[in-house]
Amino acid sequence: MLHDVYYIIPPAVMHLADVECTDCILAWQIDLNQEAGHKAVYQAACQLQENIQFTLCILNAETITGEIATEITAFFFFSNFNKHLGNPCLLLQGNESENLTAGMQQLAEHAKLQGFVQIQPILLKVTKDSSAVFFQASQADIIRQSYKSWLYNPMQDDTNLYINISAQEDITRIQALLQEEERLFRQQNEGLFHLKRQNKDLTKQVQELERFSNAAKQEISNQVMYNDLLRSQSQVAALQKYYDNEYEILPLWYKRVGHVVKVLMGKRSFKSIFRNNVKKYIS
Amino acid sequence: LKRTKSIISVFFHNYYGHDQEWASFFLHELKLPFHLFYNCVSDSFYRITQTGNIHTLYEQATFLQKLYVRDATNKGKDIGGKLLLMDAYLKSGIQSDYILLLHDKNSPYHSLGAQWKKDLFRIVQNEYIEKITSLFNNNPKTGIIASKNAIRNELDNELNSDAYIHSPLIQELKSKYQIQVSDLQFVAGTMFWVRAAIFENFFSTWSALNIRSELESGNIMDTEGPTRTHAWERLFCWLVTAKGYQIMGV
Repeated sequence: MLHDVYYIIPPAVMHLADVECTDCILAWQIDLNQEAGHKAVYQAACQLQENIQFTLCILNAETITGEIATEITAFFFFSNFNKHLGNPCLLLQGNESENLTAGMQQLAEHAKLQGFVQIQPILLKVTKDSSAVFFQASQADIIRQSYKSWLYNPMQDDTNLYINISAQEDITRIQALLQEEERLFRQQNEGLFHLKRQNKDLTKQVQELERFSNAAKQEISNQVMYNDLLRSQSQVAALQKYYDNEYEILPLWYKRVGHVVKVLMGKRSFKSIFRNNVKKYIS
Repeated sequence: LKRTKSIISVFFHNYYGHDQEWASFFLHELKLPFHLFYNCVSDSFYRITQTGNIHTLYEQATFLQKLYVRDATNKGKDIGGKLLLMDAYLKSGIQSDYILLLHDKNSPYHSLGAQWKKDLFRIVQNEYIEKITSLFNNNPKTGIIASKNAIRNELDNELNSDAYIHSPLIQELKSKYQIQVSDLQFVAGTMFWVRAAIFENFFSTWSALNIRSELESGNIMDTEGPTRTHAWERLFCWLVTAKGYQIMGV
């Protein structure tokens, strides 16, 4: 798809059986006012195929507590959780308020403690002046019209579509509808379609190369540290100390008897006890 | 119904990639029912440049019950990865008899790294697995089983002297997590078998993710002083021995 499509899954249809959604993103709705809602979603996410991306759509995020923030960050570690440059992206449903900002700050701090640089929350609104408008799956015609207008707009490329579903079949139905719209667009505007497709692919490539570059820089810095450690005397000193404690402190007569034992065991040549110009150790 | 064969949960932390080789490793070595919790360090250069996929294991491994893959930041090295997998294990609700902790140890900073790895992985070899399960069955006080060459005593730590015995850091951790250390033995390298119930009890009380959040980021070392990450390398064992269980070597 040329635009990212998110399907918001309410608790009633949480367990999706064999859902076909490799070209879209599922967003499980979690109402923080309802106890243990996140636990059931976690179980559902465990059952999801690895090639299907998902995220969370949080309701009443202003009531977030430290404990819930930790539970939500647990989702960020799923390999198919929706991330942008390694930063978890999640949806919020509600109205802008100081409490909501404070709730998101708390979540961002918890995510940071788990090693994520930042989180990328997207606030979904019902007003049409926002780019993050969400639709009901029953509004098929409106969804189709909106998607069509985005496709034919040569400038608008980063808009996502957010759709509330009420049954699993909605995903298949809306996906088919959007794919059909893209097919028609491609038929009528081959050039623009390819430019849009290329733009999306190249943006993805740039992100991947950025990740690669950062990882390579980090690895070079790691190797420099390892070389310094290998060159340092700490390991040699530890080995010397081990040798001194295990062997060197033994009395000379005991060590000499040990050499005779080695000869008897076939580990050392007999002649080497008396002469320096013969092979000492059999192995 | 009583299960005839033990079920184990394997926690594997992967930093160096080679997923295909690890898939083949689990396929050939583990001949008893197992769940695999596989943590990948997402920003590792080795993982970004690899082409393999651990999911191929699903198609071949008869003994694999379920594969849980997680994608993590580089926090607390393998200790952070194993804590993350512990959290995933508890949330998954599955039950096992034993947990086997492993990671793709490489130690590029140490001249004996390759030998360490060989020693540590002995516990996954077929010939030892039967011995390990019978050691657990025959002695209910056996809490941990590891390669005998990896079992150390903190009192003998030449490099860090008493950094993990008396330092404020270790005192703080022991007090916060109520671990009454009676025996300073631990498994260096954090690869061992442990009775699942002991870890389940501890990490149900103390959130594994909260512990992970306190660990250091990046490929940290403890050459300049003790670290939380290396302290937890010890505490993973001490939380077991503090409950009266023993560490056994094979």
